[in-house]
Amino acid sequence: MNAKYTYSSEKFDLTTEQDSVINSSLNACMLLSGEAGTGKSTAGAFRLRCLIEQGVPGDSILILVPQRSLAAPYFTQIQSHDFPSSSMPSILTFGGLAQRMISLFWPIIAKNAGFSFPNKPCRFLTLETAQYYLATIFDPLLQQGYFDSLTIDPNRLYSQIIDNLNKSAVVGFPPSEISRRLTQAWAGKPSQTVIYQQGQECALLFRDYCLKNNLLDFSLQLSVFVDNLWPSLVCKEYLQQTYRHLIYDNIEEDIPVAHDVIEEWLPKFDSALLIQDTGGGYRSFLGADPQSSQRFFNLCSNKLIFSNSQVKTSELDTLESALGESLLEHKLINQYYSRNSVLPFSVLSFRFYPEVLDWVVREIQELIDKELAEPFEIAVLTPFLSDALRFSFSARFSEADIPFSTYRPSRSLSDEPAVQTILTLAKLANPGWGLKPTQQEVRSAFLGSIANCDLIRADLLSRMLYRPSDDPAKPLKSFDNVNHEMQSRITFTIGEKFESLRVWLFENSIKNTEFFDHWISRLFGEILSQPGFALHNDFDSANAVSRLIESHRKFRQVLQPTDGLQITGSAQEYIRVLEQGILAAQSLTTWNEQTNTNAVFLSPAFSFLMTNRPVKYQFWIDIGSQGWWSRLDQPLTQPFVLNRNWPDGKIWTDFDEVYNNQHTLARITAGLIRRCRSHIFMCTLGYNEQGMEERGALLMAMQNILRQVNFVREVPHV
Amino acid sequence: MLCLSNRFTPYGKAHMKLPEFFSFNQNNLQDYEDCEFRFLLKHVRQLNWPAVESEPLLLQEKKIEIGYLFHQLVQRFFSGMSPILLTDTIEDPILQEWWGYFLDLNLLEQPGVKFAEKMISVPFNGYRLVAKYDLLILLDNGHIEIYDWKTSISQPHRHFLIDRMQSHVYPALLMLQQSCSSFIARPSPGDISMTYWFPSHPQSPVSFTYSPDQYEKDLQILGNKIKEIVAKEENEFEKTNDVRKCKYCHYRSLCERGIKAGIINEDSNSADGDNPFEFDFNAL
Repeated sequence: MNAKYTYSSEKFDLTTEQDSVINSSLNACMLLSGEAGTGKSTAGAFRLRCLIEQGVPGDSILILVPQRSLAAPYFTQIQSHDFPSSSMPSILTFGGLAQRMISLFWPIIAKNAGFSFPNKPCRFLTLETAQYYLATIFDPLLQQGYFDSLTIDPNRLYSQIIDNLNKSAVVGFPPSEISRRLTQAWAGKPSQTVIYQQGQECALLFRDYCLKNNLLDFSLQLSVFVDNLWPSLVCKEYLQQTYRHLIYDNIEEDIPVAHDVIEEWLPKFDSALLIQDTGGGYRSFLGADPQSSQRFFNLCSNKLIFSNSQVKTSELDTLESALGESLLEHKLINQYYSRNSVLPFSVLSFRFYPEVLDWVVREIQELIDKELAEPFEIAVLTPFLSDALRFSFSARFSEADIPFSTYRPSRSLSDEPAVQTILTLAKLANPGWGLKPTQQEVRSAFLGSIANCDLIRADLLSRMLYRPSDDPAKPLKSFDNVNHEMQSRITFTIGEKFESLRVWLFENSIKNTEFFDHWISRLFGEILSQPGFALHNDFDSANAVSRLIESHRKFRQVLQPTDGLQITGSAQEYIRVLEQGILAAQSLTTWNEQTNTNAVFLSPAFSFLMTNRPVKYQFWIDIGSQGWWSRLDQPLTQPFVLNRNWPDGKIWTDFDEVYNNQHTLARITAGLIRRCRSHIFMCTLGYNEQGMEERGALLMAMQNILRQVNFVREVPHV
Repeated sequence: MLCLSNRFTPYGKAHMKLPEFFSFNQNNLQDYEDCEFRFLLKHVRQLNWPAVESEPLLLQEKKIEIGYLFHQLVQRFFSGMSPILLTDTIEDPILQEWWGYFLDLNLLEQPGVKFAEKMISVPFNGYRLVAKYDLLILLDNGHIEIYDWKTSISQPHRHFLIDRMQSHVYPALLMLQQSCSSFIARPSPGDISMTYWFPSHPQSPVSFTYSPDQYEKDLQILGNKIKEIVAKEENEFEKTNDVRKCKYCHYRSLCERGIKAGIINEDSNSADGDNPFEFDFNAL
């Protein structure tokens, strides 16, 4: 069938190449590839629109993306005011599709999947709650001497064991093979193989625990979907009848088991558009497999390539080539620059970190004021974003009145001051728990609770009125006990608020029938957010408290009734695991909130790549850092070995490590350059955040480029 | 983390700007109807304010859970799963009872094409209007029945239900979707009927039939409401005059309209307490 409608290139500012994809027939099976910035996803989003305008029901269209942030062009299209009337297309990740199907068909597959209570509902674990259960299995083994040769935070061990389970699910091998695969590739001391075996033992015990308790972590969700649901007739028919058209974007960032399912499903779709970003694969350490996605070249009848970037300039194109060559060859073989070359980058040297921060903020201010750049056109990128760096930038941006947003999913909830205040107040209200806060914690809690209470007054209050040793049942004394002179010094307004808080805490200890998150809601609503208290107009803190409540709710909702902790004890247990860092991550707020605001974007480079949006100006901070180059030290796992492309039995050598780091860095820098419209400011540092001198591979590669630039400029004109 | 500059004020005299992916729906329009300021805080500013909405909280949570499970059961039922198998999964006696009443409706045996959990979005006056239907039944004669499950314990009066924004949005949106070539049906207003069905009061559903007059009125109501919202400056969003509503709103401390949350009276027939529209299962 031919398309009835054709899109006017002018009306929507589309190229003829894009038009040809958008207006393809209603039974076309297409593979569209090209570099980032060539307009592939835009074509995909307009293809969606075209399908609907031609009478395809919206809810028969499946839009599959490897990560939710990559779906932004489709959300934008669907929400545009002139998008046609329609039932809603499904925009899902493969993991989301798996969870949705398990949720719907649970009664049918629970028994065959090996769950002990098929008639009872299942519970989906978040990463944090999975870590919690793993810790309960893991701790007795630690006491027995497991992993005693490793000096590492137990939380990192938990996350690596879960990571191994996830790798087995996304690659598609049984968890019982994890240790064998890692051991075969290991070239170091034999004692490491014991670590791998112990890691696998923990993983299998955890899997067994999940099956016995109807719990599904991410790896089990994928395995149940791929091994039990997808092969079942009822699920397959449901999916194949529901979804008749597929748009699958960024296939190179998806996992091999997703490719397996789509490969089988593909002939059943009426139409399909698969989009591949050549040079992508940034999520490889999460299991993305660009090589696996190559299979679709043979499976799609129409293959199209977009080759013209709509983002980067020719100067940036030259930089991409030169930097790639410099990184991979350690020198420049070709001549990229001439005397008159316009450089789309600048490399600026600073001695200490604060200097670079001050300069970046000043430069951004100038770009906004003099170049009339919008804040959202600017990204500040680092290899990692530590709390200290985030805070330093936050303070400077706020001072300069520059709106900014940060994205760092691994930031700990317990690091939020408002959360620390709530936890301290909970301990004060419940002395029976035996969790006695320190005087400094109590001082911070007063500072964070009472409006206009400065550090000195909070300190005075905590020193005079926090007396847990006098009467453990009433650790806070009344403000009336303070002499008049001191009351005046603290001020009666603050004293009055202190009294309200003290009385509320005394009268509202957490009852045996009360959930901790409910108690926090009451504390927030009845005290902390009332006029005269610190959170009355503090929206960021309110947001942090919301996430704390949500985190506890999820925690206790997956607690087993047999644990006996569902109400009584759940608060103490929650506080314990939160303070130990087991429940570490903040709930992720939506990407829309993070990325669609007119604010400067401050994030690790990888997170920026996963927003897949170009900006006009990029700032690369500390290009000498080894963080741009080396992967994380993970003694229990190895993402490149637990991979379909790693030959069975092959040993991972130093050569592989260097080769992998080189190519990863080249891929990341190319990805960043392809998402830049105008200029990249690169900053080097004499001393890094830790006071060390670093000369990483990115800095060395840029020096090769600068040498060529300087050389051609110094050669006399003939 | 998102940090807006100091120029940003929570409700200053700036022109109100809806969030980028914003759609109007029965829930946010009802919020505007109940309290303009709540609409601003919740849907424009998207402000998380984790205070208690109403007490007792434990009961509220139980109600949300059972409502969610009921909607899930019905969705599984219309996905082709055996009612016997589904019955075996129910542990809660109230849910078991509701499920029995639902099966007594014999909806599967009734003629017509059925769509469960159907979400439809239409362009409307320069914005998008969205509805998620619990169940749509399309009959051969062109008639469409809209079913909406209300899992509150008490049942409000008919006029209360008919006045809700949902009763304006749902049938009108079925008329509006016809403009696209992927329409699900092309009814005239008289072909549409809507039923609020209460599993806790299975014998007294509240139904109404749509009409051309009502469609015209609804277009005006919805159009005027949206026009009014988007034309407002932020400082023009007024707090409700009906302070009773603040007892059941979690922004009460921000608005300085009280300390403790209102308590739901289980025996009450009024809408103040056990509000069947209180939980938006479509948003879950």
